[in-house]
Amino acid sequence: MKNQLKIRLLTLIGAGLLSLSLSLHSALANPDSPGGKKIALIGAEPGIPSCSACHGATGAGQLSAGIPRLAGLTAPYILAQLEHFRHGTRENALMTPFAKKLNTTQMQAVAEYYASLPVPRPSGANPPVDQQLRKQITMGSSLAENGLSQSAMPACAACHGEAGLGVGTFSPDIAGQSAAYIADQLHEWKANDRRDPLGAFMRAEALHLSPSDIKAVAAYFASLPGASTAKGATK
Amino acid sequence: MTNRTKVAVIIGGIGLAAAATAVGWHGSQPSLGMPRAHAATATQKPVVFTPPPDSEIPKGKFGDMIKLGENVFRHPDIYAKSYVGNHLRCSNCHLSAGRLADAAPMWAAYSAYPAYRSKNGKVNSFEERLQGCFRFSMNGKVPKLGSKTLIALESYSYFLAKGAPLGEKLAGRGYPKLPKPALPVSYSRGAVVYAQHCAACHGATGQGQSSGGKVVFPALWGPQSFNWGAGMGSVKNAADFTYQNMPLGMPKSLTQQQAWDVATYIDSQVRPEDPRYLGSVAATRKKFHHTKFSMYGKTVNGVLLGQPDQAKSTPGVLPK
Ligand code: HEC
Ligand code: HEC
Ligand code: HEC
Ligand code: HEC
Repeated sequence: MKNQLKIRLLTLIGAGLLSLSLSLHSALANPDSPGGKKIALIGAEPGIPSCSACHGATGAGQLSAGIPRLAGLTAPYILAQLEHFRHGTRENALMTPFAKKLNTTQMQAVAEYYASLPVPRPSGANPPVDQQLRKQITMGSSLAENGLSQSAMPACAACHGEAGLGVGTFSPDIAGQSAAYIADQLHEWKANDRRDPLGAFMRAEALHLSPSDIKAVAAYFASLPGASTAKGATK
Repeated sequence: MTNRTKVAVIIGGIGLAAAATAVGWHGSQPSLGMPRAHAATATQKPVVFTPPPDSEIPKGKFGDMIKLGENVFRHPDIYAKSYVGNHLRCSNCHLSAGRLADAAPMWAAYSAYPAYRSKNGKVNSFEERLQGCFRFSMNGKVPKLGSKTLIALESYSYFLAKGAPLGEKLAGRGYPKLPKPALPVSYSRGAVVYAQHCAACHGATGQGQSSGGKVVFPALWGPQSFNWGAGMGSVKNAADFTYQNMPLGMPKSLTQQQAWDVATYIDSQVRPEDPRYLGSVAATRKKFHHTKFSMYGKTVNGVLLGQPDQAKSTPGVLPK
């Protein structure tokens, strides 16, 4: 587990630096970018890496490294999570320092910026060739749609909607999110970390899931088309 | 032993019954002659039963009918469109598509009919019992006896009940009955419980919420909810259901008093009229709501509950 994390971090930093320089380039070409975009692509102030260093220039995240996609998440959800990181309700060594550098106005601006971005087509949405992955997705879809009636675990769809697009200010969009990130979050909830007040629902849910269940639901949601086409119907 | 099996065993109970539960869950070897359920012994303990998984649905025309039944149960808005008058689904109140014990599961209902019901003063077949939920819970029209919709639901329930003993008391039928509340029920305490534990999902005004053009959190009152004749309109049923099943995923996390109070709050709101309306609220209360568990015909916050047109439905409008 530890090793895996280290490798991920290394990839992350490498890829991050690359995307940082790329995004700097494109953002600087557009001097009158509104506040949110500037924070996302250039950074809040000189010397502070931008969000895009980790979350990618399009907000797509780094799927295999477990860095979540931000593009197309709702502004209230992004803002709430930034506040949780800032106040230490939600903890993450990589993310917390960046949230602490933003004030509420900046958070609002950057949340609105990411919410306005189109959802990139998830790489997981390509029809999987891998037999095992296909099996996982099938198992995951059953858990997502039916839950586990034997242990009274509700279906994921009962709270995130059938397409995983999330519901209002209650539950986030998880369709097309990074599988590694989804699995990380579920493992943390299962290990009894509540994350934040609304996370109580996910902790209750994750306690029912075995490690192979987690792999399966993560693979399933990562494989769903993001909200790009479905988004219009949600609103 | 996998985690899931462990959970099944803990929930399933003790001894042989538990072993049967675990076997049933994995759907393996019915050929060994190991029955899914063990008949009640002299002690008259209710029988523990586990329905078969969907993978055991047979192939062919009968299997197709079972699948149609499951589809009607989950998506009546699509598969039984002409019979439903609100945005609810059967599975909103009979959780896990009629599989979940203590959430009025279909496998326990199936073998409990024919039965006498005081609600209509006669012996009802299972099909007739199904009709009742269309008329009241779904605020809809009653499918005719022998219609494809009812046969499909009956086939699905029959499939779920495969191996359940006939005429025995099954553990998990209906919603577990709560004892009387310690304090008299309170609408205003219920409002506080609602705001704290329910509104995040069902909405501050009880209208529910949607995602991707589909209702996710069902309406608890108002035009898109069950009508005044429905079982959930009884404060007792609503309290029993809520304590055992709500907030979703956190069963029994409310106190019993909170369940009674919040049920009182929900059942004191406006909803579609009782289809048995007799021309006046008072007469309808006298004939059909003559119980302390019905708020029909009472005045709450200055509103006489049950008047026709109190919650006119606008078909097709989804909650936000
Ligand atoms: C050093 C890398 C890094 C940088 C820079 C970074 N983040 Fe993050 N961010 C992460 C990681 C890692 C996570 C996942 C945290 C976890 O696992 O709980 C995350 C999570 C988040 C989440 C939660 C997403 C969700 O679905 O719950 C939000 C919102 C977020 N970041 C916003 C931002 C914003 C805005 C910025 C720029 C101000 C930023 N991040 C900069 C690494 C980074
Ligand atoms: C009872 C309601 C409920 C159920 C059932 C549920 N979720 Fe959630 N989920 C939530 C809520 C609420 C949040 C937001 C939590 C927060 O803000 O900390 C959430 C958040 C998440 C997140 C974090 C997303 C992000 O961007 O950080 C993931 C991943 C997730 N859920 C996956 C699942 C999966 C997989 C299932 C089914 C196994 C599931 N959920 C079932 C309510 C639910
Ligand atoms: C608003 C909630 C709600 C909805 C929606 C609903 N029901 Fe029910 N149903 C109930 C309640 C409450 C009972 C009574 C349970 C009890 O007495 O313990 C019940 C009882 C039943 C029973 C008898 C159960 C038994 O054990 O005797 C059947 C069969 C049934 N419903 C079928 C359906 C079908 C089919 C649908 C969809 C067409 C449906 N229900 C929709 C709430 C609902
Ligand atoms: C996490 C979200 C969530 C919370 C919180 C929640 N519910 Fe529900 N509730 C649901 C969902 C989803 C269903 C439908 C279940 C299904 O279809 O599997 C439901 C169904 C119901 C129903 C039956 C359907 C209907 O429309 O009448 C009632 C009654 C109900 N809830 C009452 C409550 C009460 C009372 C509370 C607070 C104590 C509560 N709920 C809290 C999500 C929630």
